[in-house]
Parts: sequence; structure tokens; C-alpha cells
Amino acid sequence: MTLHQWRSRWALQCLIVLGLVIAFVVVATPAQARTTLGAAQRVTATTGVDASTTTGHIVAASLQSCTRHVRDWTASQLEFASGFAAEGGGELPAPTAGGLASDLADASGGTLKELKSGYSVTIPSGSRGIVVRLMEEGGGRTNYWRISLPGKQAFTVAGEASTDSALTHIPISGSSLQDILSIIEGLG
Amino acid sequence: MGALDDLWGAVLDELRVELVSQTILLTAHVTAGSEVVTHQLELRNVSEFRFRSSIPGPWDYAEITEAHLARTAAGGLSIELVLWSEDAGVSVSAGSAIFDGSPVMAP
Repeated sequence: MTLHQWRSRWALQCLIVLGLVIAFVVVATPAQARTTLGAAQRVTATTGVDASTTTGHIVAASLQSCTRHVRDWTASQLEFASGFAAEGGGELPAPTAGGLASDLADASGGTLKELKSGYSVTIPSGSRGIVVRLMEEGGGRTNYWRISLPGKQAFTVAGEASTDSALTHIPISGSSLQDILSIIEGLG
Repeated sequence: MGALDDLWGAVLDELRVELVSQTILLTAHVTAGSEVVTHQLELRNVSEFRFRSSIPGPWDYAEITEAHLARTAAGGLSIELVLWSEDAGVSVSAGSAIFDGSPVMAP
């Protein structure tokens, strides 16, 4: 799971939890249950007050469902975070060339183009533009990116002009998007 | 692995077109750390040569960003060099090629 996917899932689950809470407060709780949030939490803690009434059952069921979902969601986030740290020592997971190209185009306003074995993103800048190539393979390398001002210079990950192919062909990693955006900012 | 993989990321030093002998000699170098390796590609029986560019000149240098070689249906060779980006490149049709002293076997 990429960080982007995780964020999307996180946001979706937040919406679900929020929806359950709203459903409880507005829809599933007639006058008797329409109390303060503090009172509602006490209902949850005791698995439903006044459960002899239909409203009480609805309130209890809603809160139990909400609580269960929050608990499961929290556990899944902790599980992801643990695996995330174990796999990369806290570093972000490396995206695919295509994913990185798409994110870069979105973040920079550049134009995404598919190549034979990768992608290019051209960011408007001066008469030449800035070209970032995000390659799945090529020249004996796999999953790398490079950035250049066509006709002028290629750059290292530190943003320094270089003709050293070992420094200008940069492996795709979790920090690549930020690295590329930093170079673009420096060139702008 | 491509026959011209070693040219990816190289700096073009010279591209000499010999019309009388119908050959093209390309010289380029690749820098990797403190190591500089020079490569030579000789294209023989050239029948077509094309340079295109919409990248404003003059350039500081010509970078061979990608280098491809393929066998054509007619049995010849098609060589495509991307210079900086897809907006510039060299296309050559040739009968055979010698890369760093060895005949190139196209896939």
C-alpha cells in the first residue's frame, strides 16, 4: 500500500466514522436519546441506557457499532504503521515510476507524457522548460528519475549541475517527489 | 539489455558524417564518479540520417539521454538517439554497426 493509498483509506474511514456519529446524533436518536455527547458516551460505556425502550436499543446498537468501527480502524492504522516502520525504517515506501510521475504532474502543474519505458513530466520554465524523466527501465537501470534543463544541464539529487551519469540517474525512493520539487524550486 | 545501453547518459563528443563512404562515426563519453569511459559507434552503409530538434540552441552540450537500436524488416538497422528529451534526436538507417570495436547484434 502506498502512502497515497493509505491517506485515501484513512480519509474514507474518517468519513465513515463521522457519518456514524452524525447518524447517531441526528437520525437514530429521538428525543430521549438526543442528549449531550457526554451522556451518549456514558450510554456506550454501559452498553445502552434505558435498553427497555426501542430508542434505547437503537442508541446502544449505534454506539456499539461506532465504537467497534473506531476500535478496528485504530488497530488497522497501528498495524500499518508498524509494518511501515519495519519495512523502511521509517522511510516512505518507494512509489512506481508512473505513480511518481502522476504525483509530480499534479504537484508541479507539469505535463505528463508516457514514454517507451517510463514517463516524462515537463514543467514550464523559461524557453526550455524543466524535464523530469521517470523511468521504469533503460540503459541497464531500473526505476530511476533524472531532471534536466534540455540543452543545458542535468542535475544531481542535490540540485547541482552534473554530467556524471551515476549522480544524474537517481533511484526512485519515498523521498523522490520532495527531492524533485526542491530542485524545481531551486531552478525557478 | 539493449545493445547501446552504455550510451545512455553519455555526452556526445563528435558525430561525423562521411558522405563518400556513407558512414557515421559517433564518439561519446560517460562519466561515473572518477571514471570516464569513451565509446565509439560506427554505422556503415548509411541510407538515411535525420536530426530533429525543437529545443532552443545553442546547447551547452549534447546528452544522449536514450539510445535504441533495432533490426528493420528489410534486414538493416534502425538507430534512434534521444537528445535531452523527446523534443530532439537523431535517427539513422544503416546496414551494420560496430560498437566499441565489436559488431552490433540487433535483437
